Amino acid sequence: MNLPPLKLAGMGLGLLILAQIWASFFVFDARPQAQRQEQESFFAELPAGEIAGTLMLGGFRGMAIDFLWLRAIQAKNDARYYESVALFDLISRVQPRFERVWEYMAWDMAYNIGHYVDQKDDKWSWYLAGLKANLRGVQVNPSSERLLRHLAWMFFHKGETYMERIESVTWQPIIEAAVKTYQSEIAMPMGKQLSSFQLAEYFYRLSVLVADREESRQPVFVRRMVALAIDRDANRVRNRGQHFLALQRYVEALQAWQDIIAWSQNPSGYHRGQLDIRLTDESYQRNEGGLRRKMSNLGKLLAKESKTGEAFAQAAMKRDIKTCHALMAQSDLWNEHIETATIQWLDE
Amino acid sequence: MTHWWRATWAMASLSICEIGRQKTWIVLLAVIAVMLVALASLQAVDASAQLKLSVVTISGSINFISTLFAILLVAATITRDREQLVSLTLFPKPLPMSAYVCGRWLGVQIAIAIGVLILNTLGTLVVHLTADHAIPEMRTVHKPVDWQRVDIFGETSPLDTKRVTLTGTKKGGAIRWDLAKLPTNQGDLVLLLKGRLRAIDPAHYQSHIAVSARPSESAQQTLLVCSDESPYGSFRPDGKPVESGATMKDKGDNHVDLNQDYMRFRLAQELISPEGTCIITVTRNDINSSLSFKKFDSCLIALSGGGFFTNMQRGGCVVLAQVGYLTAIALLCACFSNIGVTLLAGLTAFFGALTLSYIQDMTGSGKLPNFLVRFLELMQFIIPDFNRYGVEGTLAGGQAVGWPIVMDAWFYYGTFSLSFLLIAWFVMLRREL
Repeated sequence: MNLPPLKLAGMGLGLLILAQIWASFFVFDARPQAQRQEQESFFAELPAGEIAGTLMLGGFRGMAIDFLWLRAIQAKNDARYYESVALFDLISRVQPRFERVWEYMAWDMAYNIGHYVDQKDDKWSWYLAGLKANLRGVQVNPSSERLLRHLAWMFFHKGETYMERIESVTWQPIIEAAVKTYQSEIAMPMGKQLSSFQLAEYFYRLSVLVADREESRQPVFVRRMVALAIDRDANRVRNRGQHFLALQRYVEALQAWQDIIAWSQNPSGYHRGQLDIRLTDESYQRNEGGLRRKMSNLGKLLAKESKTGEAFAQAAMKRDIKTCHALMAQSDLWNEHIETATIQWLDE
Repeated sequence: MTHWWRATWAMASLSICEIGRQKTWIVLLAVIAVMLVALASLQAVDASAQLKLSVVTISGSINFISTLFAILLVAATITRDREQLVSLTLFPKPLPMSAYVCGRWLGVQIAIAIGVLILNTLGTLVVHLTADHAIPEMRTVHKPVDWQRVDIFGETSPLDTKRVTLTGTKKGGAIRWDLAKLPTNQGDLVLLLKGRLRAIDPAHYQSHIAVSARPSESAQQTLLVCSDESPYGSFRPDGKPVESGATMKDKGDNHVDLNQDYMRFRLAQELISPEGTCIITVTRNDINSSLSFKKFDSCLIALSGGGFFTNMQRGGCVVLAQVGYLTAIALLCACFSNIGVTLLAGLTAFFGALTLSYIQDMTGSGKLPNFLVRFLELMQFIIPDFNRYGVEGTLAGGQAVGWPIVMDAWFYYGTFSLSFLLIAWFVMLRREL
C-alpha cells in the first residue's frame, strides 16, 4: 500500500475512533460479566498504598520478592524473629495473593516464635499475632480455601493451649472483616466465650464451602474435621461439667458425620476417587460409632427418667437425629449435670 | 611507582567527579528519605525488638543500596569510556592500564564509602532519637582458650571436640573452660553462658546448673548466681529466684544475640588472676535433661566494644569489602560488554553470593544432574559468601564489629576483587580502544 502519510494517519485516527465507539457501547456492558469477581474484591481489600507499591515495582517486583524471601529465611534461621516477621509482612504487601506467604507468616509467629519466647503472655501475643496475620490473608484472598483451612487448624491444634484466653476474647470484631463475604451463607459465631473448637468448626465449614464454590483441590479430610472439631468441643464442655450442653454438641457432631457419609455416597468437588471415598468411610466407621455410644451412655445418665434415656439411646444408635432433637427440646426431662458424667479417660 | 599511584588517584578523582555530575546524590537523598520513613513506620513487639529492627533496617538498606550503586556506577563509567570514545582522550596520555582499572574501582569505592558514611550517620541519629530506652552497649566477646570435661568424681579429661554433651543418670558432670588474657583493670566483668538442652518430658525443658569460677587451679571455687539483668535463668520454674547457679533453657546454635540468648553472671575482679586467667566450671544438676555446650560459643566474657556509631562504621567497612567484589566483577563485565549485560552479571553475582549456602546444599543433595553439580561447584570458586560475617545480625544483637573482622573481610573479599581486577586489566590490554 503506497498511500501518502497524511491519508494513512487519517485512516489510523478513524480506526481509533471506531474502536473507542465499539468499546464504549458494546464492550462496556459485557465487562462486568467478563471481569472476575475475585479480582475486584482483591483490589478492594488492599489499601491504595499497597496497590501502588505492588504495581510501581514493575519488572523489579520479582527481584525484590526474591531478595526479601532470602533475607526473611536467613533472618529466621539466625533466630532474628523481629526481622523475619517484618520481612514477611513486607512480602505479604508485595505478594498479597501468594497464599503461602500468609500461611508461613501465621505459622511462624504462632508456632516457632511462640515456642522460643519464655513468658506465657508473650507466647499468647505471638499466637494471636499469627491468627491475625492469617485473617488478614483470608481478607485479601477471599477465595482461598487453603488459608481458611490453615486458620481452622491453628484453632484446632494449638488453640487448646490457650483455651482460657481464647474464650476471653471477643472474636467478632477481629474476624468479621475477613468473613464478611460469607456471612450470607454461614453466619459468624456470635456471643462470648467461644472456644477454639467452635472457631475451628466455623472456619472448617467455611473452607469446605469455598472449596466447593471455587472447585479447589481441597483434601477430603477437611470435611471430617468439622465433625471432629464439634466432637472435641463437646468433650471439652463435658469435662467442665456442662453435660447437657455436651450432649447437644454430640448430636451436632453426629449430624456432621451423617453429612460426611452422604457426601461419600454422592461425592462432589475434588477428590482422588475411590481412595478418598474409602478413607472417608473408614474414618466414619472409627469415629461415628464411638460417638453414638458416647451419646447413648451420656443420654441415659442425664435423663431424669429411664424411659427417656432409653429412647434417646435408641435414637442415637439408630442415627435418628430428629428424635434426639425432639427429646432434648423437652428440657424438663433432663439434668444439666451429673457427677458421674465426666470423661474419665482420654478416649472413651 | 609514584607515577602509578598518581595516575590511579587521578582516575579515582575523575570517577568521583563523574559520579557527582551524574547527580547520583539525588538517588542517595531519595534513599535517605525512604529509610527515614521506613524507620518511623517499623513495628515490633517491644522496644527492644524495635531497636534491633531499626539497626537491621539501616544496615540492610546500606547493604542493598551499596550493592546497586556499585554495579550501576562502575558499569556507567566504563561503558561510557568505551562507547563514547572517551578512552581516546585518556589512553594517549601516560596512563597505565592497571592504573585506569584500579582508579575506576577505587573511585567507585570512595563514592560508595561516602554514601555509607552519610547513611550510617543519619541512621544512628534516627535510632538515638527514636529509641525508647538507651542504645544497648556494644560488646566484644572474649573466648576461652581451652576446655575440659569433669566427671562426677572430679577427674578432668581434655576435650578435642568443639561440642560436648552432658548426659547420664547421675548429677555432677561438668564442663570447664579456661580463660586467659582477661583484662585485670576493668573491674567486674560479665560472664555469658548458653547451651542446648534436650529433654523427653516438656516439663523438663529447664534445667538447673551450678556455675563456679576461680582464678587458678589452686584457688577455691566460688559459686556464681545468675544476674538480675540476665534475660533468663535467674528464676526457678516455680517462680522463685535461684539461690545459686541458673535455670538453663534451650538456646540453639543460631541464637547468638548477646542481649537475649545468653545468661549473665557477674565475674568479680577477685576471680581473675593477676595474669588474666580464670577457670569457669558449669555443673549439671538435673538428670532429666541433657546439656550440650560448644567450646567457643557457650562461654564468653563480654567486654566493652566501643560506641554504637563506631561499630556501625566498622560494619560499613565490611559492607564496602563486599561491595568491592561486586564493583570488580561489574568492572570486568563492563570491559567487554554493554551496560545491560553488566547489570545482569552484577546482580547474578550478588544473588549468587547471597545464596551460596543454598547452592552448597543443592550440590550436596544428590538431586541435581551431574553437569549442574559440577557447574555449581565451579561457580563456588568465583562467588564469595555474603553471609559469612552477618554484620547486620551482629550489630542488632549488641555484639561489636571489631577491626579483626574488618581486616578478615577485606582479605576474604579482597582476594576475589583482586582476581577480577587482574582479569579486567588483561581484557583491557587486549581491547582495541
